[in-house]
Amino acid sequence: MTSGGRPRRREAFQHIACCIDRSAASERALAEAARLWRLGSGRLSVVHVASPPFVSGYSRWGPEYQPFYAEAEEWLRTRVADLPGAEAVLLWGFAGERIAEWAAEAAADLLVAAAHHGRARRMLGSVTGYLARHAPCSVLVIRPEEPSAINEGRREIATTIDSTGRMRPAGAAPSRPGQDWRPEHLLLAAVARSALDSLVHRAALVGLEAHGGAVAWGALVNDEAAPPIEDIACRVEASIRPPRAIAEIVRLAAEAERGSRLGAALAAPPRYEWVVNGRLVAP
Amino acid sequence: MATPTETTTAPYAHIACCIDESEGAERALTEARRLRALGPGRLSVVTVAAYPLLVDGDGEDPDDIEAVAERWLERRMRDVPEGAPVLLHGFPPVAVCEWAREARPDLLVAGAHRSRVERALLGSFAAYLAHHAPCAVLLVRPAHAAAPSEAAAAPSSETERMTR
Repeated sequence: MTSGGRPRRREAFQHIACCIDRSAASERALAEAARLWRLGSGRLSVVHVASPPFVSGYSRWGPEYQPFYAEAEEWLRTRVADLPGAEAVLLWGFAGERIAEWAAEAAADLLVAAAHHGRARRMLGSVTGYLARHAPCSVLVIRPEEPSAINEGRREIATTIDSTGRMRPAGAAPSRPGQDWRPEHLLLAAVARSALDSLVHRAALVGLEAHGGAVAWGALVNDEAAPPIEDIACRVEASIRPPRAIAEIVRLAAEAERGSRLGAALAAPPRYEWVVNGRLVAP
Repeated sequence: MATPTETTTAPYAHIACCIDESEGAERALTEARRLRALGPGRLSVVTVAAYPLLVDGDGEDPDDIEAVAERWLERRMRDVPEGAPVLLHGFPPVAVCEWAREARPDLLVAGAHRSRVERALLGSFAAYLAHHAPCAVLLVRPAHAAAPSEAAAAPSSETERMTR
């Protein structure tokens, strides 16, 4: 788009777009986006999506939507007022999709958005999560809390079970001394084992032989009110013989996921990933 | 108010880039080096010697896995003179988050997806960092990679993958 003959640009980004809602976390994202923008001479767009409080077939011009739209417009104007030169962009509709579409049209080269920690993530349709998956450009995810608060009471843990059945805390080498097992490692081991066994069982039902390993991981949170491990995820890597069409593998993985009894029994079921015969399949 | 100047201030004092052998990681490293070159600052290039889940027979000797990863990182760093290599062990997203809690980079850079096959899915590694890393995370995509509708399409068949 810009003149091709120019020397290599010395700017971090040419068109930064920061996505904000009314959360404290997105204030932090906007501060960071503004900081990056001031380092260079590119554009800053401050993007807000006004979502209707109810869904219907009308466009935003429907009379019942006018108050929401006008209110969002006013709010966004005040947010951008102290950033002279920044452009306010008000969109209408489902936040993630609209922002991704807009970013492609507006040729943004960086989207800045805030992460929401822990349980908040499980709210379906987290905009940042959507953008991380589907944005047409790079995405900068900003932490919702002060850096000094981040290390407090949080620790990542994992348990792996390889295809020989060897179980390791944190996925570390078996020869590495000083690995400490915690009770939470065993919960993760059970999640991994349950998912793996479920796949082996489902495969056997249709005459296939599955063989593999699994890992489960999550974050230990030092909070009485929280579950002992947050945001559990589980990845199973397996080979299935004899080879089958991808559609059948996807179906098997979906069945195995439904049949992972331990995961299903948790208050917040794990996110699963199934890698079969070297391919990531999404149930 | 922002005026172009001869030298731009570095946006980050300590950038850490996570790499493996994937094409997504190469893009991430290119972007991390570009940001690092905007001004003074550190660049850590982080790779994880991961123990495979699927192993043959009794499995590889973990010492071998670490030695291979170490040699690979050393070779890769030959043309990245400004970067400091960091070799971690264990399960990659967990190892990187734990490292970042200690080393405190200002920014973690990672490829948004590792390969064309994983394009439509955010790699688990990148997703985990986005949710849990103790610092800002830059998920790198080629500019204007895929329209949202393409990215949202089911990742199931090899033939649907377009060559860009």
